[in-house]
Order: sequence, then structure tokens, then C-alpha cells
Amino acid sequence: MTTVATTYTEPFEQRRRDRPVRAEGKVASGTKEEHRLVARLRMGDEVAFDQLVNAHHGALIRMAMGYVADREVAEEVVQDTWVAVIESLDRFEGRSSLKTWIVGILIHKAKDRGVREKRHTTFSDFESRDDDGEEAVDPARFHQSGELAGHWAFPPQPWDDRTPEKLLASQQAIDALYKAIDELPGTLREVLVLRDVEGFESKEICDVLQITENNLYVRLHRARERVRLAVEAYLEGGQKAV
Amino acid sequence: MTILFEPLPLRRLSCEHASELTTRSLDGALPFIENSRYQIHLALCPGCRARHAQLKQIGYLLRRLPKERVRPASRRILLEAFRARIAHSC
Repeated sequence: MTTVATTYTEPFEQRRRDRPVRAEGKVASGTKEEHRLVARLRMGDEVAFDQLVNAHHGALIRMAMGYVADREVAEEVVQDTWVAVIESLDRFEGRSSLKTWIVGILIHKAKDRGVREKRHTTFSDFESRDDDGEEAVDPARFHQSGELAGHWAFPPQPWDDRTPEKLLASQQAIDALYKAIDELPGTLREVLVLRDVEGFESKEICDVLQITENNLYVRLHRARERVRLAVEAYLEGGQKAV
Repeated sequence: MTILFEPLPLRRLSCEHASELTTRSLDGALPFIENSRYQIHLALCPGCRARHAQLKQIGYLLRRLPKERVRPASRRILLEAFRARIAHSC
């Protein structure tokens, strides 16, 4: 792990409404809870720091993996990110949310590490892939001609209302979901992780990734559809008991 | 070809087109007229209704995925770095 001399200030000025506190150590952006959390961190509250790390570490690793070679390097990048967060905490002014600030640091470090590793192939893939061209839903699932052209030829079959709870109760299903997320291309994975796993607002994601709202939704739509297909395949693959 | 005089919400939406609108509709990012057309299509189309419900369930699932545990070695390193910073600033 390297010592980080760089300091970080928030790049984005945003007013935030009070939002409910999220579960599992997560704190909604711009709220009194977030201010309290920052104050506790500055005072050296280890429990607060531990909770913050636990709440976001996995998501940060998934994001970093879009920029660097493998999980081990991603782990190092995320560790460096946390160290930078610790060292720059006094300069955090609350103009952006704490988690947006942390993700901004991560992206800076992951890109830097990716370039240093000369992973140009991955980088060009990252920049160009999945922004256009491919449809989210396989066109073969629709009628191609005739009166029903553009309508379902192979419509999705409804899931049981309790499918999410059943899946969440199964470690095998959770592993399959994480695998589906890990197999997404970096551009799709990062928006899915930020929006759906980390609960970022769409504006926050556009700011931190420097993409347009249209771009965000194109990526998010493809990412969610791929995860949906993975769950569909899981449910159809002899996992009916789940 | 643009069809004149047909109220927008009633213009026929294909399933293929509707399937592209699901995420924006679920996230409240679809303009009112477009969303109305989409909702009308859903009311009439069991396939799109099923897919819409599935994507909603996917969102629910992802928000509730249990967190993976931080590796003990990483956790130890980070807590040490945190303590060192606090000790240094005191």
C-alpha cells in the first residue's frame, strides 16, 4: 500500500435535501446523519470508520475492477482510496456527499493505476464499449415481420412476487447475482453498482462519472437487463426451489 | 411517417420500443407523455408487464444484496492507517 500525499476536495457543488438514513451503515447524502458521521470520523471514531468501510468497500472494489487488471490490484486501489479519504478528511467540506467524494477519489486512483499498468486494451474497451450499438433485449425475442412485428415472440414469464426474498435467502442465488454483476463490462457495472447497489442519485452518478443522463440510462438499462437475464437463467436452470 | 391528429398517449407502442423505456420509467426519468404511453402499453401487454415487474424486482434485489465482508487483512491495515492519522493529528 502506498502512502498518498494527494489531498482531495469535492469537485461538485450540490445542495442536498434531507433523505432517509439507509440501512447497513450507509448514510443518506447531505443529511444531519452524514454531518454527524464526518464529525465522528474526524474525532477518530473507529467504529464509524469501520462501518463506513464495510458499507462501501465491496462496491468500490467492483468499480475499481473496471479499470485495473484483477481483484488483487483493485483491492490495493481501494485501500489507497481509504487512506486518501483518511488523510483528506479535514478538507471535506460537504459540498458533495461523502460517498460521491469517496467514489471520485477511487475513480481517480483506479484510472491512474490502470494507466500505470499500461492496460491500454482495457482502457479503450472501457471507453468505447456498450455505449451504443447493441440492444438491451435480444431482438430475436420479438417478431421480426408481419402484423406483430416488434411485439413479443418469446415474452418473459412472470416471476412469483416473493422471488426476491427467496433469492436473498439463498447464498447460491446471491453468489449467482454477484457473478452476474462481475461479468458486466466496466461501463455497465459501475452505473449499476452506483445506482442500484449504492443508491446514488442519477445526478450524482452523471457528475462523478462525467456522463450525460442519456448515457447513464442507456448503460443502466443494459446492465439491469443483463442481470435480469442472469436471474431468469438461474430460475430456469433447475433452481425452482429457490 | 408522422401520424397527425392522433393523441400521443394512444399511439401504438411496440413491445420492442416499450422494452427500452422500462428503466427510465422505473426511475421516474420518463417524461409524462412518454410514461403515459408506456403505462397504457403495460396495461394491455402481459409480456411487457412481466418484464417491468421483473426489472422492478431486480432493483429491489440489488438494493438488498448482503455486503461482502472486508478481508480481515485489509480491515486491519485500514484501521491501523486510521489510528495513525488520528495519532498524528493530535
